Amino acid sequence: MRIEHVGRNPYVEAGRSEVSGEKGTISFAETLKDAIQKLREVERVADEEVERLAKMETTDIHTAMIALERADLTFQLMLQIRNKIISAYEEIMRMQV
Amino acid sequence: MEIIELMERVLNLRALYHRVIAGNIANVETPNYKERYVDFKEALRGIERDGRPQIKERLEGGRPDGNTVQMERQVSELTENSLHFYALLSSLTKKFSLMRYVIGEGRR
Amino acid sequence: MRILDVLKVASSALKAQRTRMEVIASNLANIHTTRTEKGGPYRKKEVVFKSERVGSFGDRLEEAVREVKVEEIRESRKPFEQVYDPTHPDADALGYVWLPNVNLVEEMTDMILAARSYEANLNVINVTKEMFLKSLEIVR
Repeated sequence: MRIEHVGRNPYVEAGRSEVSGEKGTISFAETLKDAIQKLREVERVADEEVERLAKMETTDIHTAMIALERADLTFQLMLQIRNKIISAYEEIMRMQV
Repeated sequence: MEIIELMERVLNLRALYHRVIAGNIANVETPNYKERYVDFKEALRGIERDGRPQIKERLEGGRPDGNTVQMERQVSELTENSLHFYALLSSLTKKFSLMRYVIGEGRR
Repeated sequence: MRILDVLKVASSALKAQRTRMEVIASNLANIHTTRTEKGGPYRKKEVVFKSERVGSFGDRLEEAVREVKVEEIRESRKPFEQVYDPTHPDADALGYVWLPNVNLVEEMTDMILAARSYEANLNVINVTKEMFLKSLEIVR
C-alpha cells in the first residue's frame, strides 16, 4: 500500500492516495468522485420533477414522489459511502506513524 | 429491469387506465361513444420492453344511440384498478423503507 | 398533471348531468302545458351530449381520455298526442286538445339515470383524490 505525502486538506489528499488490490488499483478519488457525480445526477432529476410538479406540467404525482424518494435514498447512501471513505482514510492515516 | 422502475411503469399504466375509465363514465350518454379499455395482460407483457400500451375500443353491445359503455362494468373496473394501484403503492413504499433500513444500518 | 385531468373529465360530466336534470325538471313542470307563447302545447326538450378531448394534443394515448359537453338542448320530434275533451279551454274546433309530448315514466327514468351518472362521476372524483393522496405517502 502506497500513501503519498499528505497536504493540508485531508479530503483532497485522500483523493491522491492509492490502494493496490489484487484486481488493480482502486483510488479514493475515483470512488469519491463517482459518488458525488451520482449524487448530482439524482439531485438534478429530482429537481426537474419538482419543477414540473410546481408548474403543473404533464407528469403524474407518483412519478415525482418516486423521483424524490430515490433522491433521498441516494443522498443517504452517498453520505454513508463518503463517511466510510473518510473514516477508512483516517484509519490509514493513524497507521502511518 | 430494476424493480422500482418496473413498479413505476405499472403505476403509470394503472394511472392511464384510471383516466380512460373516467372518460367512459363521463361519456355514458354520449352518442356513438365507444367504451375504451386497456388489455392488461398484453400491456404487462410489453412493459419491460418500453412497449406503449394500446387503448382499445369496445364496438359490440351498443345501444340505439351507438354508445357501448356499460356503467356497471366501468364502476367495477374503477374499483379494481384503484385497488391494484394502492397495492403497488404499498409495495413500493415498503421497498423504499427496506432500502432505507439497509442504507442506514437500522438507523432511520 | 395527468391525474388532475380526470377531475376535469368528471366535473364536466357533473355539469352535463346537472343540465340534463334541469331539462327533465322543465319537462315535468310543463307536462300539462297545453298552451305556449308560440302556440300549441309544450314540446319536450332533450340534451345531446358530445365528447371532447381533454389531454394534450398529439399524444395518441391521451386522446382516448375525453370529457363530455352538452352539444345542444333540442326539442324532441316526438309527435304530440291528442285527447278528446271539448270542455278544455284549449280544445280546438273539433273538441280535441293537443297534449305535450312528455311522458311521465320516461322522464322519471331519465331522471334516475341522470342521478346515477352524477353519483358515478362523484365517485370518480373521490377515488382520484384518494389515489393522489396515497401517492404522496411514498415520501412520508
